[in-house]
Amino acid sequence: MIETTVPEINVSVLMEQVRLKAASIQRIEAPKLGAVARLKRVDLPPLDLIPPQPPLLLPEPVPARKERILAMLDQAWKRTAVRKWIPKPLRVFFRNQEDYNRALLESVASLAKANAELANRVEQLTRCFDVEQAWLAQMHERASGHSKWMETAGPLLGSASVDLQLFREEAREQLNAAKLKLDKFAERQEGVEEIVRKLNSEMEGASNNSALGKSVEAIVGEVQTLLRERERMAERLSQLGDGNATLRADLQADLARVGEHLRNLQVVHDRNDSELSRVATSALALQRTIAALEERQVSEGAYFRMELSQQASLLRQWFASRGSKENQKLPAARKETPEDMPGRLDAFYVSFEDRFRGPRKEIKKRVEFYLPVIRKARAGRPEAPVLDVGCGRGEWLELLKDHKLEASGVDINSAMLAQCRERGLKVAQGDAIAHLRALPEHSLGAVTGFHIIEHLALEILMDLLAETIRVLVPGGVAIFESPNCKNLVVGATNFNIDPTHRNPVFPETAQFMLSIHGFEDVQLKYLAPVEANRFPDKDPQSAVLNELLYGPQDFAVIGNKPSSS
Amino acid sequence: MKLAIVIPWFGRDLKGGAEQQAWQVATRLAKRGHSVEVLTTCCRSHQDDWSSNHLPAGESETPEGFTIRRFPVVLRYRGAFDAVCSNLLRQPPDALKPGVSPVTDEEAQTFVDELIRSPALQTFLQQKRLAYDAFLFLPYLYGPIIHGVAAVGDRAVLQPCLHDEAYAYLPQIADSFYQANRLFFNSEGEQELAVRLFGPCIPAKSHIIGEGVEVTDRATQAGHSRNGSPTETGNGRYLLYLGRKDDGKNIPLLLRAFARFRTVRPNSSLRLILAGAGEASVPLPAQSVDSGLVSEKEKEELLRHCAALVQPSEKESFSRVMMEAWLYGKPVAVHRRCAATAIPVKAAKGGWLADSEDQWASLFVELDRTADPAMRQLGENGRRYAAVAADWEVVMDRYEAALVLSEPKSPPRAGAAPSPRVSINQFLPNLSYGDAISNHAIWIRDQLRAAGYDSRIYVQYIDPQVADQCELFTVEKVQRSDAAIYHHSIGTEITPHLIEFSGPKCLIYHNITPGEFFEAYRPEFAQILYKGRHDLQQLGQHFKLSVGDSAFNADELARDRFPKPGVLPLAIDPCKWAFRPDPAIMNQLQDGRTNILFVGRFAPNKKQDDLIVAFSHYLQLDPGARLILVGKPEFADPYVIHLGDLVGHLGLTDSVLLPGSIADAQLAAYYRSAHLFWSMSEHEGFCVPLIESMWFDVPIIAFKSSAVPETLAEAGLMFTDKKDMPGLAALAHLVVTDPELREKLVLAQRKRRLEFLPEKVSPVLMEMVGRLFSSGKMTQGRPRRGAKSNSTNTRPVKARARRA
Repeated sequence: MIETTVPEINVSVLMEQVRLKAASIQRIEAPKLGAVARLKRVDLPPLDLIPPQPPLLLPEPVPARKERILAMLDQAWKRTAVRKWIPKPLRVFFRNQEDYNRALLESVASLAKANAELANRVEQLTRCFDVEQAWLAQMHERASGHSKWMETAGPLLGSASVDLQLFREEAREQLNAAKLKLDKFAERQEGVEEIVRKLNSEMEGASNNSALGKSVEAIVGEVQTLLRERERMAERLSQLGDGNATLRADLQADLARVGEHLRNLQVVHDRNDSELSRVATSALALQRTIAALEERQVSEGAYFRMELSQQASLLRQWFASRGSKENQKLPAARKETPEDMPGRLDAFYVSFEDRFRGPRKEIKKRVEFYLPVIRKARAGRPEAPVLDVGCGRGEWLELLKDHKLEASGVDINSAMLAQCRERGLKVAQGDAIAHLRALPEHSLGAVTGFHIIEHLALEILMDLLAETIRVLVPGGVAIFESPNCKNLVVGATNFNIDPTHRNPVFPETAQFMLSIHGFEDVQLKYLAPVEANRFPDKDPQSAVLNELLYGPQDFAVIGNKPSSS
Repeated sequence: MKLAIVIPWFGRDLKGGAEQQAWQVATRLAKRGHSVEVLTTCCRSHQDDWSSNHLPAGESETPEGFTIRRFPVVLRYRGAFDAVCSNLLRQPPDALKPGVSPVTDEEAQTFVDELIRSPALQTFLQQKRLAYDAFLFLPYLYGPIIHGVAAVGDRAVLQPCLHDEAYAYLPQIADSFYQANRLFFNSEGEQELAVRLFGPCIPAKSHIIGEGVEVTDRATQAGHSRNGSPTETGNGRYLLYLGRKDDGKNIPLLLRAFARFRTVRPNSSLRLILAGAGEASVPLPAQSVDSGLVSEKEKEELLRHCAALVQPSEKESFSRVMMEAWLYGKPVAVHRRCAATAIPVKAAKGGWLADSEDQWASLFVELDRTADPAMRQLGENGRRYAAVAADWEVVMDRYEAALVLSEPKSPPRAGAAPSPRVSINQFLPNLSYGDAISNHAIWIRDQLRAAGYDSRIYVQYIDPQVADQCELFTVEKVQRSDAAIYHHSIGTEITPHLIEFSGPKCLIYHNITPGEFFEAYRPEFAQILYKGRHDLQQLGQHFKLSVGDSAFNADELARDRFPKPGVLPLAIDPCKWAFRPDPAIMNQLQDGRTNILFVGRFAPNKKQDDLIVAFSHYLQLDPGARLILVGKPEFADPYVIHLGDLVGHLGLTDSVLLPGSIADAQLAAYYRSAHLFWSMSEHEGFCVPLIESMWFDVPIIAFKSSAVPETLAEAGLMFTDKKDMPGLAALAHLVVTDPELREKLVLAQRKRRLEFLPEKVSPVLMEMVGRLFSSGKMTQGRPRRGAKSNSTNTRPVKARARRA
């Protein structure tokens, strides 16, 4: 039964030990339980209101003797018939009635016996009926008792309810009375207070009263006796103290311990204090440094970043050229023509964006508008992520991430992407169109582009839309936001703040473009109207002016890929 | 190689094992030409005020050729520290439980923070982390060590000099053992204690370094002559105790046992001589002498002429006098429960073990009876052992091997990194937390990535707990892979896509449970399993390369006509348990009651129902025992309902624990506190919990079925039928209660578990990957050619047909 592969274990010894030990164990049979969940039987509580019916003791049926009687009679018959085949002359000798008579007698006797037994049974049955009747009578008595109880209980209950009613009314009255008393009491209290005030003033007046002086003297005397008592106590205490020098030593030890504890506390306190002041001074210094840095950053940051990115792109190019042409030397920086340096404006654009686009928090707040659109299109699941083309500083991506939506971004600006990566956002560097081309069909839940289409030439914009509809999953959504040139201030002036803008895209044109690329349900949303400095809305002309000058500054075009395709 | 030794106090003449060890190591390593620096504080010694800077801070060179850097200590909050300390020391030794902090977390933190403090040393360690190749920290307890190990990360080598004392149970101590890259122990016993306190991640990073013992030349010449015994020792045989005579060293036990021996053999001439500081708390029995504190020379004389040395202490991390006695060729008697002395005595066969007072008394009787030659033989065994274990030169060789010559942890595989990156992706229906197959897949991916491949895991269903480990399956993901590894149990929707995949591919078979087991409970699931078995026969022709995770599984593949299936066992790395087990469970389960454990899904083939019935028999022998069934129960599963009914029917609701779905820290706690792993399972493809139990030193008994004997191999204690339930209960009780049987089993298990270490399994995996590409060339070629010929054959036929 036991097997082992451990050579140090002796199986036969082990088996013997097991046998000895197992002898003391009682075998428990595993219950055979059905596999499928069995319904537990519910046992109703016993109903023992009715007394159990007494057992009906029916006597055994009387044995029927009919066969025997018939057989006897038959025999008697035969015996009487015997005579018939005996020759006539001899018949006289055989005429014998004895057997017949006896049979007859016997049958009569057994009939009588059966009769007696029947009588007996009837008697027993009668007794049974008596018992039954007694039970029924008992039942009847109970029933009548119940009805009697009901009869008596009925009026009692009625009177009780009346009593209750009365009690309630009485209680209400008492409550009212109590309330009245309380009111009166409150009035009286005011009187009492007045008395107290009077008493106080009288007391003040009676301060030089001689009776009072006497009582004060008495009190002073008492105090003096108390003092004497105290002196006596002190004496006794000192006696005790003299007699117990060890007690004092203990006290001293306690004091020393307390001192040690205090010193410890002091150490901790000093340490905390010095650390606090150190932290405070370093915090101050830090603040100052940060302020200075911030100032300098504003003036120098953009320049340095541009320098850096130029150097970086030079290096990139050098590495690229070294890869293709082994022998070529490092190209001299000054020989480079600006057109050869992709990304050399990256640093500039970052600082530009920081200056003009607006603070991160505000942008994030603004793009929250699109979250319901994304949710409705069920984008942002792992199998249908969101792609933000021209993701820039990644405000939108961060918002999506905050809401646990799967998203990535693509941008050509390396400096911006570095910012995104710092925030842990998923981004790739590259051209948006090229990036989209590399993606398989039906792989994205949403494609978004904020302030990107106004940077693109028409052909490229058309390519972007064509690629977008290709990569979207059925039901996926495309969102593009752009400055609204219907607002004259935007169209005529603000649009030109960004030197990389090409031309405004007219909202309805954008809508049309999406439609012809196969988007469904293409909608225009106008956003961010100017709230300040509006003309009063009363006259119709100022309404027109408001629309033209203070109307929405941005618009978004939103289209869905048909879900059937 | 630049080594820093970090120790709170340092100096040539400091008393204390760790301080002496540090001095010897620094001196001897410097002598061997290594660059050694000692980083220590300005505090003079353990006995001085820990807030005082007795010595000047800064760097100094020693004549021995190494550098000492001293850092100032700062004031500490002694009151708070003393309060916690007295709290700690108040704990009775029996109340200490591994994995359970003896004081509150706050108190523990106060203790660690208000020990000797040197912020300057800490800053130095943080900043100069990379300037040294290794930091040797010793001993385990003090602030600079606990915080320092955390600061230098994977360069930390901890030589703890660990004792079984209340401090060792603090959670911060556990963390420094988990964080240290390597651990150096003075003895096997000390390592054993560390395993008991901190779990199975300890042995993998441990080295037994030992400690040197300096003995004068006279000792080695002493031989075994008993001539010319000095007058004060008198004539006749005597036993010797060397050391402090306090209760912590078990002196009362020794004296009481000797008194009992005297009553049994009043005429014996055997005497007991005690030498060392202190005063025994019980009166000395007849024939015993207290020589008090003796000089070094007197000590040598006593050792040379004694019959044997007795060392009854239970709290030693390394017994120097034991080694000295052995070097004098004398046998030693030690306490069985002190691993640091008991293990060497057993290994050396250089003496005796005793436990209770009875045993010590009868040991004295035995010693009195033993003839001189037999004694000499034991002493000689000990001498041979000590000559290797306690020779400083040998010890230093071990230091060098463990410090200097230790190779980097994961050597890059030469020539394995293909360029451009080749992708080998894994496909399986689902990945879930804690599941053996999922862990295996993640391990394979990490190995492939380490070997330079691009590797990802694609699944159909993602468990949120492991969502970062895998990606969603799509058909393109298969087609874009250079090679595919497919984990198969029952077929799913992804199976056809892998059949279609024409690149190199391999199937890993994780076994399909026979449907019969489920027939009574979930007939519809039984049908799925039957179908899975049936479908497996169809897969053989599509996968030229296949492996099972056991030979048992590989045999099933071969039966279903897979060509030459291989075996790739599951890798189990004990380092994954380098965290504290759940303290609440550790506290609850270490209450003296027996814990019987089974880990596995709730499924009819695992036969938890049989285990419950067997356990009800076991309870007759051990009424306080618990049965813990770990696994994810689905409460609507008819089998689980059946188990619940069974537990209720047998009246075991208070003894059977079903913890449900649990985290790793909780699982570790259940393993750490288990006394027995008991499996009644009738079908296992591999059974990972068996290997895990081996790592937690939990003895295993199991029903011999399917892959179980293969997984247990030389560590199996199995039963072949389940009819005799009382017999099984008796067997279980023997394994729980018989320490010798348990030890034999655990030692065998410790050997067996090594076979599943990642470094053992990794070459098998790489060999499989190699075959993937060599066979891949064939399969890659074949289907393509086939596809072409197919298209050239069928198309014209169709065209002709159409024309016709």
